[in-house]
Amino acid sequence: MRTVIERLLYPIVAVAILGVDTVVASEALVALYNRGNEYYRAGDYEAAISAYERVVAQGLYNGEVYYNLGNAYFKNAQLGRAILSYERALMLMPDDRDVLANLQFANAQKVDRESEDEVNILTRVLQSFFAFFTLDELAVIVCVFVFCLGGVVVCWIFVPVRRLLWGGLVVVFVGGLLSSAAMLAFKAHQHSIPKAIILVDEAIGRSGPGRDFLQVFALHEGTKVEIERVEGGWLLVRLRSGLGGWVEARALERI
Amino acid sequence: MAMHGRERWIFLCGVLFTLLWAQETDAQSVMMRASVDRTRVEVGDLIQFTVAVEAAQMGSVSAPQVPTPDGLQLTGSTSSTSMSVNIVNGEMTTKRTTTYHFSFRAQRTGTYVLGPAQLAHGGKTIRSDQVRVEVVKRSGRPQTRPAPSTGRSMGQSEIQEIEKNLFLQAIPEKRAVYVGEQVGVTYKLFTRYDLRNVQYGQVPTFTGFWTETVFDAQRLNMQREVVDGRAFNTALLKRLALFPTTAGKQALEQLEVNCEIVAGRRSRGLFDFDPFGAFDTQQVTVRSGEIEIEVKPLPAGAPKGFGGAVGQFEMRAEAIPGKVKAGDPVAVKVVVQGAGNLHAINEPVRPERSGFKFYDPKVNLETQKRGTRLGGQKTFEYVAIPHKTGQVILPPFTLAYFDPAQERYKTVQTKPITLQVTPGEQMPQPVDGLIGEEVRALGSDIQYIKPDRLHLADQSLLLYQRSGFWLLQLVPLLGVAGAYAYRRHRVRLEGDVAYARRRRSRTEAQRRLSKAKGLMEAGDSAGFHGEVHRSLAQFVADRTNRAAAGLTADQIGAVLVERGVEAQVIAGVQDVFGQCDQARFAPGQISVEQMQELFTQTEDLIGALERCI
Repeated sequence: MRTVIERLLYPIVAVAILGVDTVVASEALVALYNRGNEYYRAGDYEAAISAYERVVAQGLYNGEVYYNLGNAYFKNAQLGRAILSYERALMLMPDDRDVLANLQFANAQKVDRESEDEVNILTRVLQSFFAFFTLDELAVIVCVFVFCLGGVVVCWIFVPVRRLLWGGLVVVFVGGLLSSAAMLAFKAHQHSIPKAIILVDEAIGRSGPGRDFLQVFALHEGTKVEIERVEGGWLLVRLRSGLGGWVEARALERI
Repeated sequence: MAMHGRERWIFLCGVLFTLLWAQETDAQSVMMRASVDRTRVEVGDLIQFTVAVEAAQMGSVSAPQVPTPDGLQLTGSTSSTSMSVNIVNGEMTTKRTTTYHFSFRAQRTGTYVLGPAQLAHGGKTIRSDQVRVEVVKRSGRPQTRPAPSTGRSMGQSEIQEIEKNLFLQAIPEKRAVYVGEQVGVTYKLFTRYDLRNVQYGQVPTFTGFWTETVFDAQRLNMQREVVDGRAFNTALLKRLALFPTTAGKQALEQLEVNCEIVAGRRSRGLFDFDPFGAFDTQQVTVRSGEIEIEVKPLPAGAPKGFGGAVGQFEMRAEAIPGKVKAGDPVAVKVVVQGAGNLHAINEPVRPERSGFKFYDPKVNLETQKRGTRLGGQKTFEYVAIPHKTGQVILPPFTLAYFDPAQERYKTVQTKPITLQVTPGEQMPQPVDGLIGEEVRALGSDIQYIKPDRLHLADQSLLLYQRSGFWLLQLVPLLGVAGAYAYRRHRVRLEGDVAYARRRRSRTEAQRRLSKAKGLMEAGDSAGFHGEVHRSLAQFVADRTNRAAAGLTADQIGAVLVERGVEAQVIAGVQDVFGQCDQARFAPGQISVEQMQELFTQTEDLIGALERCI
């Protein structure tokens, strides 16, 4: 029994709670990243881009690398790729202020304006509350509720007389667990929707997957879209406004 | 217009006199006479033009028409009628006299001709004579004029008599001042008459001056004063502080006072039985003399920061509290005190590069009057926030002003104030020496790149995407299951003897075996075999919930068979029992190796039995 705990549970606890990542980039990749920073400081943005891109290409997904890559693209006047890199960095570091600031800055430069929806105050409060927690934080909250619930049930088993106290706590923790788990599920679902950034100057949205179809809209570099379907080199994308259309796959890149 | 009581009596007296002294008149004729109360007036004065119409018949004469010359203004007209009855030699003639009063106000200088008044009567136009009137410039000297509305005319000598005994004086402090310097003007009424209904007529507006009233009489407070050997009653009417705003010769307009002179009881003879009009009064208008003041411009060479303050001033500053935390406000109070027009005092010059951020001050003005001198204090209350910490010195505030007494510019300063500023929680950082300004974004750019790293973690998987996270969620589940199982086990141990014995059997056997091992090592062959026997017998008894005492080897064999234990194991058990019996009856022949072998065999048997019973 003890051996099982030692062999299985300890590493899980270590990984899950302490967030110790088992995968750490090789020294060579870290050195490449640092060299990219050097190029950036020297003002050689193209060399910096190629250094950061190589880090990414070798399978290291790290927010700071994407963030610096975004900066290099921005300084190199490649707005679409800069926004793409910032969006990728944001997926990995949803709390980072630098990323948020630069993404906002870059978005202000692009051609397409995203219309802010008119929302009432309640919706806005809910939205901001919803945006308050990152996915990782929600996962930790769920985990804490699970452990609290388990602890209360164990206490109930051993001290069955205080039924009211344990019952109340169980209700509280079950409620917390369900709501946080629902939030986690919803947010994870949103997170999993594939999104993409337009990288060409102008991308024409058509009513079907082919050049013969009617033009529906035109998108410009840096605009973010959701991908709904893929069909033979064409993507059905949807804008925040709800407008949908087919765009050639090479005009954009998935975040 | 209704006739006043007194006029009515005069009228009735007139009727009686005409009855007594009859005069011959042409009954059919209408006569008209015109006159004015004075022929020389000043601009703004009223001229009374009186037309008397005499007619023999009653009710048939219309009112005369009087043309209004350009330059005069008709302000109103009244009329009164008197009747005379003459009886001569038994023949009675009546005469009616209607008097029309026309009031004209003189608007411009010049010579005007009033009249002729015209009226149509019996198909003829009757004209009155003409009157020449001269309108002259208003003179600056004090004047006393009888008001024309009373209808009583006054001779020039009578006017001069009044002027000698009733006059209004404007007394300026000085005749030559600088711009902004105070000049006090006092208005005093001198009278030797008993006055009634004293009221202001025209009040000057003092154009070109900033005016502050120092004193304004609400009622006449008479004091005796001797002027040129004659005793006067004097009353202070007004005391003003004037501050000239522009240079040049400035004339002070005249102050006008209307009043009634009580001339005392008048004897009217036999028919005077007026019970109410006990006093005869004369309405007069009194004007002060015109004053000219020479206003000198301020000399050149005004110091920097001079904002027009003229007078004598002092300045002091204080700061509360003397000890603050950095970032906390200090109330700095700058008080300017002295004589002069405090309204004209601008904010004192704030110290430059003081290390303080000043907000615009709250200004409070308190004027004080000392005699005719106007002064007081003006307070500027600042909120200041120190930028530095430690012993901080608030440099002096400066105020430049012109002192008219010494005829030169002066500058006053406050004393420097020392403040103790302790470091606070949120110390505003002075940015590149620019003190007192908030940091403004000069441009915007993206945030700089992240620094170099020694390690970079792969962040591709979010917490919820890791299997470890979900496995971790099983821990409380396992905990609950374990707790439940343990609880059940404890409950069963308490209630189920068979279960308890079964659960205990292994530990019991283990305990006995280890005891046997000790005996073996001690060389106690008999004890060892006894213990081995007991451990095996007890184990079987515990597992099958039977009493160990009296359980023979055969019985154990039977029980084991009954439980379906393999024959090989049963044979092993019987063999162990056999060996133990044998050793008990033949001690000393058993080697340590044999005992070791038996021990191992027993351990194996217990292990095998545990699996099947």
